[in-house]
Amino acid sequence: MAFSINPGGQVSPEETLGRDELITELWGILSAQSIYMNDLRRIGKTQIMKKMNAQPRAGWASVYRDVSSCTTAAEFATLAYRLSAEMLSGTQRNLRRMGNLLGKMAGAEIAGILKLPDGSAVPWKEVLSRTFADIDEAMVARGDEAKMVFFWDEIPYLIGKIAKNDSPAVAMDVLDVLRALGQDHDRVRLFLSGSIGLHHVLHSLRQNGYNGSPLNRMAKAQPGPLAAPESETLARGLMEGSGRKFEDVDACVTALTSAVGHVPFYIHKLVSRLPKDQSLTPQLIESTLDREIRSDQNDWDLQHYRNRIDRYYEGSQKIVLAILDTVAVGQPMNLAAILKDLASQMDADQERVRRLLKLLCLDHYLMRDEANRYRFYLDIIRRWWRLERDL
Amino acid sequence: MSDSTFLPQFSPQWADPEKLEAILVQREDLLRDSVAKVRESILTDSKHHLLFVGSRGSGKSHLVTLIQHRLRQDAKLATKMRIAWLNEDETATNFLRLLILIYRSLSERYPDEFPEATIQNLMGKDPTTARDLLEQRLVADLKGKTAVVILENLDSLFHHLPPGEQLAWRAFLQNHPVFATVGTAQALFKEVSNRDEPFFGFFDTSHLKPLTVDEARTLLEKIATLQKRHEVLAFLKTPTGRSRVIAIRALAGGNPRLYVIFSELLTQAKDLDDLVRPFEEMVDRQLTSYYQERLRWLSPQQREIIQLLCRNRHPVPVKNIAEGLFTTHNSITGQLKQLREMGYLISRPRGREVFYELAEPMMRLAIQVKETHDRRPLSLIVDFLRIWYEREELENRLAECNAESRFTAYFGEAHRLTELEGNSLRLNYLRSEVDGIDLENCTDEQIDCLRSLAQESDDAVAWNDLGIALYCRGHSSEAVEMWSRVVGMRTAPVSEMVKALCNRGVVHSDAGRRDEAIEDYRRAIELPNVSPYYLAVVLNNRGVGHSQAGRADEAIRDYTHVIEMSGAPVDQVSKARFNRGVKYAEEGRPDEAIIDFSCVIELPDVPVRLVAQALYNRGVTRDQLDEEMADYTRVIELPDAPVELVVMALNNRGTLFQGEQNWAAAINDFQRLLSMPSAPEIEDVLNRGRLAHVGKASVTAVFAESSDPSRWSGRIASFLKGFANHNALKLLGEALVKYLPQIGASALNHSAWDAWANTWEREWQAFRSELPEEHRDDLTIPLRLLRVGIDYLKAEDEGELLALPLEERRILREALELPPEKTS
Repeated sequence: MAFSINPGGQVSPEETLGRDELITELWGILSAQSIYMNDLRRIGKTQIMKKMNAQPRAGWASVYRDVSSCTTAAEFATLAYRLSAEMLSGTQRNLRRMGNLLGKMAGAEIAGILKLPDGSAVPWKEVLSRTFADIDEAMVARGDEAKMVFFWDEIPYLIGKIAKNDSPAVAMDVLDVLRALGQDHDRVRLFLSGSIGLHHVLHSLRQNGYNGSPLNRMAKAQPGPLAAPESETLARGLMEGSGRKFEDVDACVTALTSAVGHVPFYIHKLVSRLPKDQSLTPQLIESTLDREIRSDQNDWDLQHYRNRIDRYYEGSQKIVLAILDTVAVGQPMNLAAILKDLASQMDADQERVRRLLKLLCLDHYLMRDEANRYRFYLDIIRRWWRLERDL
Repeated sequence: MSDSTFLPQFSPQWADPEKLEAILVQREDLLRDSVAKVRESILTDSKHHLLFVGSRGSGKSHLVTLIQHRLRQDAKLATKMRIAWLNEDETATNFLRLLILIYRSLSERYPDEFPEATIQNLMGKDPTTARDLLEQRLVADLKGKTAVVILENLDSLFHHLPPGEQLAWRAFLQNHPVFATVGTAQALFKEVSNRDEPFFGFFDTSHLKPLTVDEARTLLEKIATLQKRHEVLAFLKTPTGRSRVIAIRALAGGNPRLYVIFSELLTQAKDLDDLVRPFEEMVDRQLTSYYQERLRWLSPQQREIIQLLCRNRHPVPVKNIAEGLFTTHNSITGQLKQLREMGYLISRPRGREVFYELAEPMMRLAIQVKETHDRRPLSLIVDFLRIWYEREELENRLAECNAESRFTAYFGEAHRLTELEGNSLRLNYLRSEVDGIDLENCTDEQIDCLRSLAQESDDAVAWNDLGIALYCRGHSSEAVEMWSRVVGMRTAPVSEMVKALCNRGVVHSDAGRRDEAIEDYRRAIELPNVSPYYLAVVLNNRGVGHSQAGRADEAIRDYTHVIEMSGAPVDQVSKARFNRGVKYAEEGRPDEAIIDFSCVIELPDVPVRLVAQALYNRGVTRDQLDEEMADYTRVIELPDAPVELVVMALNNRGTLFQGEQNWAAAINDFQRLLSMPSAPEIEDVLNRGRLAHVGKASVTAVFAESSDPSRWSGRIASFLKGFANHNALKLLGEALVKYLPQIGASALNHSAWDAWANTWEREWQAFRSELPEEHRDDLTIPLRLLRVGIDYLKAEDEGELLALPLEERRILREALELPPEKTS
């Protein structure tokens, strides 16, 4: 099957490949609890949410929104209300509690901040709690199994904006309210997502006195790259769709998907950059990737993974770099092997290394496999790391 | 200039799209793919966001205009697509403002569907409410269609949008997938290429490449065709026309807009004020402010580098930049790297040096305008005129110009400088293009440039270089033509004449034209004042020529001449020594040969290959076994010795060991030899004949070394692997069968003979599964013959042979030295 190359654009749910098993699993989890999905940018989180929203399971009502445009808690609460109202309007059932609160809205366009009849803004907590209660009620009326899920994308951006525009205290409040509402209303689920690690946002809020754990009752999901067969189906379809020529299509597909670590975005991107006037070989594909990611003017920005170490690991840069260098060369490696290698370079405290390894996994540099061995989370980052640091 | 041929240089969006289609070069595939992607965005739920990156004048607007044109031509899209093409200079500081611009653009084109009143109704509302309302209105008014939003200078738009507003834009695109975007930018910008930014990786980015010489020529040809200037078209196809384009490419880079401007200069006969004035205005008002802004971002030293490069018309080596700024090579290198990374400069490696030049030739223009305040003609245009026209043509054009015209100033300046400096400018640009290139590995474009330089300059050096480049690409007869030109020149310097004769002689010699080769060498030798280096080269070559013709004495005389020549370079002396040594050896004069080979081995700085060859040859020439073996050992142990010589030395040494019945050492050498990786240079020496010899020697050595089957096993396994490595198992099998008479004559008993056959069979069965399917039966017949042969030897009864079919019996009888079978 031929596909169209679309790095970074919006792929229709029908063309979102290789996520069916994960999606089934996610729907299973949602029946019991809400989900927080976190992973690197461009791994395909939004596509997963959009596909779930476009093809909901029986008994589920759903709505998707990228909430990063909301700047305050009030805007966010209004958005939640509006989305619910739009979604439930087809059922001819109004949101009763919100209706009581707002009074007559007839003729008014729903936009901006919800206003009471006297012109004052409705308190955002009130909007959220009444909206959730209304949805709960609406779902009960629909039947035993009916539930609603909000797919809210880019949650860390939202929290960051609220902290900036309202106050850090309001941002903390929003997180706590969402957590409480999720617990109180069994018919409403939240599917939150973001690429910035929420642990960094929480760290910043904790510096302002926040002690909550808003995600501790949510299931954590990390979609990761595609499985090899699915990524190969995608790569094959893209290369065929673009009319590229090959000497050995299977070898080219395997080389391409392995080199970029089976991430759909990078597969699209690399296919789009392959030369059109030459017959493709695995060597040509790999050399194209190396040239792309090393060029002075490139839009892969893998340098980001080096640069952010200075921000994320202030005071520990030297040891973090040594850990990553070690794993880049010797992966997969267990803790003992990493420690042994580090010992030849520096005085490395075992507990400190353990802690840093955990953070490096949270920040998606590394992952730990079933045998407790560490490896790079994405092969493309390892590839760049070795090139950049001449390892 | 008539309307029918008018090509706006600065606003392609106002041009007739059919004309833009007619002059499109290089980007046909990109245009087709881009249209297909936007089309898919219109017809399906997938949405593409395209970004074209290229410097000013690189053809971005041209491309975008054609995308839009082709989409509008597609009847299937008419009811499903709406185009919002924002004006190039429009900007927005928030997402609401951007939405308003998009809506207004739609409103202008489709007023019934996107009423202007929608915008009016937003006035007075708070920005958040206004944005929400407009988002909803826009989606509703599109009624399921896709808006193709064309945003030129997307980089500028992004620079003015704060991150929060970018998030709002991206959220809108995610929440309402009703837009497909077609954007352009002058350079990749952080808002799309930096991973921390909201739009990182959002756009499908294509970099517009500069035109190559061929593409620039095609563009000029297309424009001339469009404008029906047949004489220009014909001129572009001539060698002179081609060389002019190469020089222009060196002057101006691959910026398409400049070629459109140049084409007007070529195709219009008289005043071109309507071309030159807008161009100057663009440079003055738009480019200058743009580049000044870009310069402001740089450090003082980086600005100085840019200014220095602006004053130079060619790529400049690092050394010269450092000297020009009175600083050191080291301190300038880091700055140059940064400027390259930021897209200001491009670097060109030439030999061991790196040359730098401005990434955008337009920058030079803009800075020139800034630095001069007396409205001097722009040097780019003046240089173009000087490159394109001969002096007489400039005079003619000048005479036709209106004296009041601004354009007259250009022809006047071009004429003045040409009077002053001649045509050196054109040659300088051509030379700068080939300066330092690797003649042995030239691209087509470099050969084209060498040809142009040779034709323009008619210079012996240029013709010689072109000949070398052509020869190295396999065009020997054409190379001979180039060198013949030099030989025919009266004014060619002796050094170039010698090179031409010598090179031509080599080609004659390669082609078997020995007499012509010798004649060329003779002429070169007899030239006056030939340098010792070239004299030695030519004498060596002539020596080889005489040798090939069977004239040993003459060959030896030439080599001796080199050896005895005062001032001859060591590399030529060592070659002469080696060649003379070979000749002496062939002539049956081993003592003299050994002296020559020894000299080569002992001379300083002789390449390893020649030392290895001399050692091998000396070994072959020796009488004394220990000396011969010592020479082979030196070859085998010589660091970096060519593998094929090591193979030959191992073969010879192994054979010597075998002669001494030192079986273990012989086996060791043969095993080492067979373990060499399969490579063309090894296959040349490890040919079928030599492998057959090694097969026979190996079988002999293994059998003779021991009577212990367990020792045989390891040896046999190793040889099976080694022969399979060189795809020569059948030769090993042949050797095995032919060795049967020696087994019969051996002192071992019958059970040892059986053990020999059993061991071979066992090792073969263990090994054959590792082989590719087609080789799994390579030893099947030989081992059957071996078994039956041993049965015959034990029974001494020819009846045993009847276990084999007739054809195999015939082979076995021959191996056993039995007379042919009698048949009745």
